[in-house]
Amino acid sequence: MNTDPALADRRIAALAALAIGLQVIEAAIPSPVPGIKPGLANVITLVALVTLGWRAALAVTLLRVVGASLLLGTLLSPGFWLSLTGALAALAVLAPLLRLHPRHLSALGLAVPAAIAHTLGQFLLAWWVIIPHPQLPLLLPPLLLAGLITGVVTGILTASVLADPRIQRHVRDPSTTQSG
Amino acid sequence: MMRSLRWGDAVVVALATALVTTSFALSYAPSAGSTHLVVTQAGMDPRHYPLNENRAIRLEGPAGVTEIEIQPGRARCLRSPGNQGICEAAGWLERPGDMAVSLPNRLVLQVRGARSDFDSMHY
Amino acid sequence: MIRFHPHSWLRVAAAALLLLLVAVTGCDRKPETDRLTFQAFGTLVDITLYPGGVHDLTRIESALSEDLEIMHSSWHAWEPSSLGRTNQLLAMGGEFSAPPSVLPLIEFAQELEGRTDGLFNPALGRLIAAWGFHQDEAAGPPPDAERLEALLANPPRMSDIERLGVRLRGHHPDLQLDFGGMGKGFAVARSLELLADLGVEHAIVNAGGDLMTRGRPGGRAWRIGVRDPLGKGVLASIELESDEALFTSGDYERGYEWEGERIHHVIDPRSGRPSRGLVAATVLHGDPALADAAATTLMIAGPEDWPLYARRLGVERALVVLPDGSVELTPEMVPRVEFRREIVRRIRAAEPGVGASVP
Repeated sequence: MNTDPALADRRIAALAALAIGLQVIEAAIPSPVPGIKPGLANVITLVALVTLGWRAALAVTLLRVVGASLLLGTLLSPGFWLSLTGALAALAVLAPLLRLHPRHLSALGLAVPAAIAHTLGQFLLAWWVIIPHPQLPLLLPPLLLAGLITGVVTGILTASVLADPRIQRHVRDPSTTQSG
Repeated sequence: MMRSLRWGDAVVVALATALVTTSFALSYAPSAGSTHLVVTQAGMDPRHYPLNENRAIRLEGPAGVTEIEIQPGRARCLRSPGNQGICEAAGWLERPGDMAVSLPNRLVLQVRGARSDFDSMHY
Repeated sequence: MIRFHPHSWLRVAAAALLLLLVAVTGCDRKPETDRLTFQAFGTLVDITLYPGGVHDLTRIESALSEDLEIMHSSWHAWEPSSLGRTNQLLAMGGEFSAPPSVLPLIEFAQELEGRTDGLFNPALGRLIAAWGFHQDEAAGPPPDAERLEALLANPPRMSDIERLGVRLRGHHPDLQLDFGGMGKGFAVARSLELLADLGVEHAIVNAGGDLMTRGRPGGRAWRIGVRDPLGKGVLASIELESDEALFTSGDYERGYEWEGERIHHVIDPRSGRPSRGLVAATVLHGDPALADAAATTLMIAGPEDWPLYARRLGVERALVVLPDGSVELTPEMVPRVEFRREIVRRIRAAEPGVGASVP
């Protein structure tokens, strides 16, 4: 890594704080299936991913999920598990995809799969564990559509953030760094 | 300028779009050959039961309980209040339009298929 | 360096969203029609409304069911009702003011009795009651030969009711009106009027399987499925335009088994017994009350004479089902019905006084 650990920690903390804020705001938006959200805080996850690496993104995400649920009073509630599952699903998909960035994939190419995985992960948890209603799969197509749209929006937002010269310095170029 | 887009992005977006479109097509397109049982009970919204697996349904009505038996591809009124046994007499309902009625319990069982149905049934 | 170009992003995003919108709108699934199902008028009432999703269904259902319940209790053949009081006063023989809910039915029935040589005779409520049909669950025992003879000795007729403006006087002590063979027709007509008042222009009112249409569902005709009276599947499909009524009288409706014999509620005034020879008679006509009464009449007329009485009543489109499963139709009915199973079909065009068979 070309940043020292203490600085990385502070950046992780800062990003986590931002992400928590976004998640709390997003909690106010209604959704067809309670608890399933588009996942705007993924912008932060993606920025962390691209600038600080996968492990940092994992840390930011876990801090965000737990921190937001503490603030919202939803720790260990179904909403919390949904949020966690969505985030972990997105990260799982991002791990292999990160290697294709920035040569084969831009932020859009990362954000869209992450958002789809986020939606799918949340839906599967909701359907298998929380509400095993036989008609629930009928909600999946519109949820996936929402996820796709959010992914595109997230991708654009992330790209816009990453294009900022102040962030540019920290974007990792795979030709010069090892993974972290 | 398209400089900041990568070929991978196009692939990703295309795949994601295909996924979403397919999910819509699968969910909402009628599947040929599949029938379902529609139960209309006075005062309630119609209920749909796919005729794809063994199932027992108990419906409460003003006169008592109507028991419905579902097997793959067919359904029947197993037991219903009323001394004439009209509901049970309809036997196995299999083809779209097949129907059994329990007037004491105010309900109608009808098999509907994937094709566009009738606006109303005359009997 | 990686530069951010808004135009390219937006193009990709726009293209993706456009693709999705096309895919999604292609699978639009707003219901075409709304269905209301409720119990009223002693049967299952099923209303189809077009277009779907625009009407206040709760309001419509409560208005219709209330109206139908009022008609049901006014015309009830055995519970205390306006009709019951009318029957009492008719039997007493004095002059009285006809209740407004009952007078139109009396007028209608009197005209039809004349045209059907008395085959259609709602004044024979006593006979119907004797067979056990004046209770919720019809049951035997049927009247014995002696009782039947007494009932048929001097049967009352609709012509025994004298009409003086809106006042009536009965001239037969056994007069008992039972409008079971035509009441539904009136009820369906009234319900469609009520729907029009509520702003519904396109609908089907279906009361226990007998129905009438108003308007059209968009650019097509109404699709009606006809249940096979001898089974449970679909016998045929019929397409109806606006203001067309489809009524069927059958031996599989109200009734009971007695010593192996099927006793049904369509009583032939000539024999005093349930009609024989036809399983069902179906009439398609613009007047639902006429369609209802005609279906009853054709059932009574039987396999030989039904075309004659169809013609007498001005019914051009009718079909009957015989116990062996064969179907007879008038020539005008043939193009309206699309059969869904193999049937033995005969076309009957009646000459007045003669029933001619055309294979």
